[in-house]
Amino acid sequence: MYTLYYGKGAASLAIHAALKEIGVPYQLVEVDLEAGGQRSPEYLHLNPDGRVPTMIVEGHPFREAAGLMMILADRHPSAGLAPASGSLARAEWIELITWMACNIAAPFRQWFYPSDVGCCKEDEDTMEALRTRLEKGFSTLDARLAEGGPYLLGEQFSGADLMLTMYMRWSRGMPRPATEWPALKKHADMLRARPSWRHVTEVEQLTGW
Amino acid sequence: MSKRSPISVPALAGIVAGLLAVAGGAWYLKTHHPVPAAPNAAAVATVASTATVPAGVIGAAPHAALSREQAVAKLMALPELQAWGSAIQKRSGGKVHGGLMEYDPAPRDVEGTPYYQFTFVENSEESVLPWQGFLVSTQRGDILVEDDVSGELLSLERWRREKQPLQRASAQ
Repeated sequence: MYTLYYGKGAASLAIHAALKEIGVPYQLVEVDLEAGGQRSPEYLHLNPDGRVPTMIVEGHPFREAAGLMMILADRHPSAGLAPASGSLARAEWIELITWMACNIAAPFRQWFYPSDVGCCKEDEDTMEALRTRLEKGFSTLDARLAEGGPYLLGEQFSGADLMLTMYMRWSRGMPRPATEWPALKKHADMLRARPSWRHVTEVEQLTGW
Repeated sequence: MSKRSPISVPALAGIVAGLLAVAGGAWYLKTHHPVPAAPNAAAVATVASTATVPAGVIGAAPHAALSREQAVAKLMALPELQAWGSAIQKRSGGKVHGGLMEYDPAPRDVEGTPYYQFTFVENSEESVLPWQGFLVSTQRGDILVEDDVSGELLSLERWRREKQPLQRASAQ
């Protein structure tokens, strides 16, 4: 059984939804981010970076959301989280997951935690640069969906769509939320209606989508 | 990020449903007044006690005895959905509507039987808020209700008995 250490609405969200999509038993352990649970000695033992998610796989902790999505897709090939292993579509999926991790997740980390790079939210130039980078990333994904949706891989749903939905949710308080891009909004609406997303919304008691 | 590689084209029904999803397509409920097309909807139909089908919105899963439109009509005829739709519209002064969204064009297999997959949503200009998931058999049209927390599929009778969904209309 997997054990997922999660924070409400945090980078664990897409992995939580992926576990629900797969349908395997799993255990959830909430890390109270507001109370600093991610910096407790017990948690730092599992995740020295003090971030969520951490997922225990056969007794071993793994930590990066994009990596966890790939691990789950590999271990549960019939769950539909990714195209068939070794296929060209799978290569495209890997590239897509990695692209979003670099171009969406990474600037989001700095947007929410500018102190990671010795910055602060009052540094307007840095925050503006991060915002521009994120909006460029969302524009790219919006164009991709408009050209060949409804999912990121066309007609085929995958774990990449869960990752994108999580990233879009994070943008809801930004000056230009991702849902202001038409194709991204339609994608978000569709993914939010999926049972796995409805489930994590209920279980993590998320508000404001 | 590279351009997408060619993706195999599924059956016609899948394409139609996919395009619907892309367009934010949803079926909407009618209460007492004709409902203007909601901002999210490219294809909109209104229904009273019977469902009509948005122009150009057709399709059935392969080997299905029941079309998507018939499945939608069955759901929209449920008194719970009628009550929810009315409550949503009344509460918002007609700005927000209840509707059905097919969240995955691929039917879901439940013990060997394929089911269309829908979510009843509250659709405003800003967002789509999911309320309840439903499955409709492509063969016999029987309806199952999804429990979001447990993941269980409930019969209509059990759903009504245990969840008392009509109360939700007055509670919102």
